[in-house]
Amino acid sequence: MSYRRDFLDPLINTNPITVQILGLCSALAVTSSLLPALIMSVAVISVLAFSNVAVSLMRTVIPRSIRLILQMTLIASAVIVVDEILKTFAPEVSRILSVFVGLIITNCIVLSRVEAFAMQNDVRASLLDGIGNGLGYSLILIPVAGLREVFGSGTLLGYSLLPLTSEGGWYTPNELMLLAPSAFFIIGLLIWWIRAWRAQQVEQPDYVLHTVEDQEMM
Amino acid sequence: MSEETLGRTLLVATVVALGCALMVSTAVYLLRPMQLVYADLERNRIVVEAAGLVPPGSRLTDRAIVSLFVDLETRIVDLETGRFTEDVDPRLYDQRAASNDPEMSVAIPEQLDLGRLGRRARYAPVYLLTNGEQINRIVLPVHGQGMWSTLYGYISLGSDFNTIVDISFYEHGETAGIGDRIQDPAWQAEWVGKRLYDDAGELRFTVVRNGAPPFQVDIISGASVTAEGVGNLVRYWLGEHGYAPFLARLRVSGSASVEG
Repeated sequence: MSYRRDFLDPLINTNPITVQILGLCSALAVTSSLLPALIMSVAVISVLAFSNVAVSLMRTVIPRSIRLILQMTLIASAVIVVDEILKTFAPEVSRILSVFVGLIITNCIVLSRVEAFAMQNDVRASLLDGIGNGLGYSLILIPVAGLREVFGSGTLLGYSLLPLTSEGGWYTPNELMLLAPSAFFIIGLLIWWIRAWRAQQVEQPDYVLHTVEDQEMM
Repeated sequence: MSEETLGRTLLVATVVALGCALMVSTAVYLLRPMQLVYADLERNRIVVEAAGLVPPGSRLTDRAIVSLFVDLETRIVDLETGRFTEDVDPRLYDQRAASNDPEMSVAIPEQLDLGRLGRRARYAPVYLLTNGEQINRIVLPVHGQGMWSTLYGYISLGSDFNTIVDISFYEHGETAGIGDRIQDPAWQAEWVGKRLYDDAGELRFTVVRNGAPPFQVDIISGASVTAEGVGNLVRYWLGEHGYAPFLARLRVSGSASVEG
């Protein structure tokens, strides 16, 4: 695979959320408004890029028996640094994101890229793969968060878009949009839409049911 | 994949652990001073809000918060005598540092130590909102143990020095999403209007399951240990070893002129 593909494939073709169905927990939790989702995207991209590069650099010296714990140590350290930076420069968003920045450590996207990709590929490919997967994650996170904020609170990035009835406007906010299940519906619709457009993403069924004929019973 | 021996495995593990430790501690060391500035601003914001200077629903700029905070009347109370004191400069006094200074603090008798603090500073900085002679609101610093950490916050009382008008915490290490619901506006709203003392001046306030007015606040289900911690620290600070003598004195004189 070329470097170009390493970077572009995770955007749509192997998107971590819609194709690999990973990282859904945080995608549900941080998408009730746009700003936290943007910050979360930057955080995940940084962590993915750092841990992919670090693991790729060390892939020849990492002993197989302790590779997972070393990968986790590197990921956790990157996440702590990112969390501290957020607490310093974006303290209010950091409070909204609360545990979800720390939980990037357990985000399956990060460990899966490190273990499945960075352990076998050179540094440049790993960096591109990390950023690509981070962007693929953001590409889902950001529209979901935008939709939820507009229809749930009538605002986008805090600016009023649909004037609310409670403030003399005409829009009654859909409060379901502020709850996590709405992200499930939106992501589900997105997956449906992407697979209708890119039919090769539809998985073949593992088993096919067939009608049992009388003869077969004998 | 290289050959695996015990020595090699241990070496790689040690190098990675040290490298990561160095990275994390460098980041924390470089960022801490800036985080402390933010923590101070957050404390100022909580005081200004507790004093009722921020109209509900509005957001103030950092500069506005600091200027409101600086304009607040700050006085130092000697908790022993319950009187204002001029012994220390209210602008420079650091209550948290004083709590650990044997010269500036006293041991809390064990049976009274509801906040599980061990010691408390002899002086406390209080913030007053006055209109001429009358005190309309008083903001008192409180702290004590929650479930995992020491909670630091402010409780604000109305002009009767008995009715709670606000409680808010600016620093805690409780579990995000569970214990940190002590900062949930819905729970904070339950405190408003609750009374601390009965007509005989006895401290009746508690945080209990199914708490009811006028003296009780309901615990937070799922975070009962933290919520009870808040109740206990409030009971300690508003009790005989805390602000009770000072508040009793204010209630008699009813003004800021309780000098000497």
